[in-house]
Amino acid sequence: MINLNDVEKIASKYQYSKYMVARYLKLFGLEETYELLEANERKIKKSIRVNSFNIKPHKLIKRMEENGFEFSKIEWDKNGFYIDKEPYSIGATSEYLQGYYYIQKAASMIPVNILDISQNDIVLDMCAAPGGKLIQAADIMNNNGCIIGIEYDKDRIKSLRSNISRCGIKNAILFRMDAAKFPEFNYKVDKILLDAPCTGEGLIPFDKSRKKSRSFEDIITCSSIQIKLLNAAIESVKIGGIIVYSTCSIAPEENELVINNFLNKGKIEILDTGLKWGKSGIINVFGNAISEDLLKAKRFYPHKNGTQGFFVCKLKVVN
Amino acid sequence: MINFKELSNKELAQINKSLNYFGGLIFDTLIKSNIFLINTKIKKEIFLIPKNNYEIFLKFKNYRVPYYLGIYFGDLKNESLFFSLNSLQVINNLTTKKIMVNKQGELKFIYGKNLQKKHIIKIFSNFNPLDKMIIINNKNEVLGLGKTIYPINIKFNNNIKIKNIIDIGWYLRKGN
Ligand SMILES: C[S@@+](CC[C@H](N)C(=O)[O-])C[C@H]1O[C@@H](n2cnc3c(N)ncnc32)[C@H](O)[C@@H]1O
Repeated sequence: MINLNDVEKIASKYQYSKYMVARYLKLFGLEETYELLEANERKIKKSIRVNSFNIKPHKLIKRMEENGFEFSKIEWDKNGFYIDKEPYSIGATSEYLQGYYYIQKAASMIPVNILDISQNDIVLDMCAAPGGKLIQAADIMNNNGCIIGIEYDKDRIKSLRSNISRCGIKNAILFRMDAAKFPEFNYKVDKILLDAPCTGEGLIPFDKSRKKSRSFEDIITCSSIQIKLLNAAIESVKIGGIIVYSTCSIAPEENELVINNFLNKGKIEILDTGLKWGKSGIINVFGNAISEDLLKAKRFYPHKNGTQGFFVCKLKVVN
Repeated sequence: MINFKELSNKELAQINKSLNYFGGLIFDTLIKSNIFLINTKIKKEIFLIPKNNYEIFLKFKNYRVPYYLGIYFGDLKNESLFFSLNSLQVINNLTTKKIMVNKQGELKFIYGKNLQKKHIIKIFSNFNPLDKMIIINNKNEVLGLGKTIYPINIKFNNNIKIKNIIDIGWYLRKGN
């Protein structure tokens, strides 16, 4: 049971919608709720990911350090760096214009890294704009193979095109469409990244308005879109192929529950991410027990990992 | 309707001719492992697609027209190719039609400005008035495309004014 006074007090202190605080108290308990909300007030370190097919990471870092930038390594990506000192905008350097890096949040580098991509794969990125993960995949593939990128938003697909041009990506085919319709292509790919649209609950450190801007109904609406997209993903990958599902939300309805929906249908199984970072997925969702396999999913939090709130789960299609 | 299609022989010849100015072997080198496609939806946009991706495109084309594929190589206008930033990067190491600028020149150029003699550190070939050239920095990185107003001699003995046609600052000014 949660204490309603706590909900009132915390929601008013940190300026959150009450339903969110009530949910945090149930999921994390009082102490961790405070830790999360405190961490949401702090700045998350900016980071970049080097396009190593364009320039060797150590060369780029040296060059930018000569211009006054300072960096430190991101543990889970050999081409990922936190920006420790930014004397002028990291988005306006000549190295940026040369396409030598993409400004990408550290946790956002995880999904592509666990997708087991090899150079000649055909990869489907179902929600591709603005393109950080697609560019990362192209980098791992050394610009070989093929990435089918789907995005339905008219403006966002424009920035996707600009970003992939700037970074010199040549192995992408982009479609502007609803990714849920991809099965109509009747084409099976090797790997799928489903970086699903979500309520962005993990992005509060970057966007304080999110403390109040979304209702519980929004979470449910997103969840039904996510289920539709994951269903399409399962239909579109070869047997034995991998799907990585990710969101920047920490709501179980947008994460574990989406995947749990498919677990008893015999089509997918959850694989270990192989990551030593992040907390396990939640298997007791507001008093309801779900599949223990979801312990293999990973959750990242500002108070635990210094990242935005993030969820990632690796799936294999078995049937 | 299919918007991306292979180029006609006439269109290919126009591209070949535009590339030929930068170097005789460029066109043949490119078509060994790539295919040119044209998208005529708004203007005549030219794309260069790796052959394996072209085969995938063929499987999809009856279902849906892609928004973008391969690299955007430029626009075909008045029977010649207007080079994109990506196409300049592709041909940079295959041409001597280029001019290297110093840091000051680099900054001017990527802000969309023209270049003068004081910005130039190396001229790789002679140019006639209205000739185009790739502008690079001292690390051989493409900054964009310029066009000379006066003749330019490898030995620098001329008045130099190079007009900015396109530059990578575009990604900041318009790209996002
Ligand atoms: C979380 S963002 C993706 C970020 C991207 N993967 C990256 O790394 O830059 C989700 C994207 O999915 C797009 N989207 C939402 N619903 C979609 C759908 N049904 N089909 C295709 N794209 C969709 C949104 O417009 C948004 O750009």
